[in-house]
Amino acid sequence: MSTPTTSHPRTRLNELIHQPIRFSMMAALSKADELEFRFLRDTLAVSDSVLSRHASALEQAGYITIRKGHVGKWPRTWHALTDNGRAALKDHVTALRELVA
Amino acid sequence: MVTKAEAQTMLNEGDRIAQTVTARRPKEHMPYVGVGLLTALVIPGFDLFDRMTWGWVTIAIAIAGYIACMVYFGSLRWIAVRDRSPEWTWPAISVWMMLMGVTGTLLDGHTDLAYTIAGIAAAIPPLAWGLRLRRTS
Repeated sequence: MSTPTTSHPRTRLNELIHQPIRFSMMAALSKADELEFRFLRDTLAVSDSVLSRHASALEQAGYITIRKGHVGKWPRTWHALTDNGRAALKDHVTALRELVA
Repeated sequence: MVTKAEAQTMLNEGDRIAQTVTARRPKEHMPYVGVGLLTALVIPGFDLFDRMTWGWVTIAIAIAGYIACMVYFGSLRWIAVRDRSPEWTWPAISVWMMLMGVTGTLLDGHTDLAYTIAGIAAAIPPLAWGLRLRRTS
C-alpha cells in the first residue's frame, strides 16, 4: 500500500471560509480594493446583522479589514481583503477545484 | 464531508458573485476613451464650421462629458478600485492637448485640415491609454 504524498484536498479546505456567506463575501472582495457595507449586503442578499456577524468573524481571523468612514455626513463602512485573506481564499478555491476534478 | 457537487456549487456561486462585482465596478478606461473619441470628433469641426459657434459647441460637449463622468463614477461609489493610472496621466494629456491646440493654430492658413490633424493627434494619447487600460483590466 502506497503512502499518499500530498494531503487530500478536503483536508485543506478552510472551515472559516467554507461557510457560504463568508466564501461569497471573500469572493466579492477579491474583485475590488474595498466594498461598502450596503453593496455587499445587497449583492449577497443577506440582512445587516448576518453580514456584520460574518464580517466580524473574518476580521478576527485577519482575512478582512473593516474601516469606518463618511461620505459627506453619512457614515459608511468599508470592507477590504487582506493579503492573508487573499492567500487563504486562493488556497481554499484551489482545494475546491481539486475536489471537483 | 464535502461532496464534488457541493464543491462545484460553491465554486459556481463564488464565480457568480465575483462576476457581479467585476461588472459593476467603475471602468477606469472610460473617461480616457471618451475624451479621446470626443476630441477626435469635435476638434476637426473647427475646419468645417464657424469657429465661434463651434467653440461654444465644444465647451458644451466638454461640460456634458464632465457631468457624465461625475454621474457615472458617483453611481459606482460603493465599489472602490484603486486607479492604475499614475497621477500625472491627466496633466500630461492636458499639456499634450494644449500643444496640439497651438499646433492647430500654427498650421491654420497652411492647410485646410489644420484642426483635423491637431484633433486626431491630440486624441491619440487618451485613446491609447484608455484602450490599454481596457485590454489589461
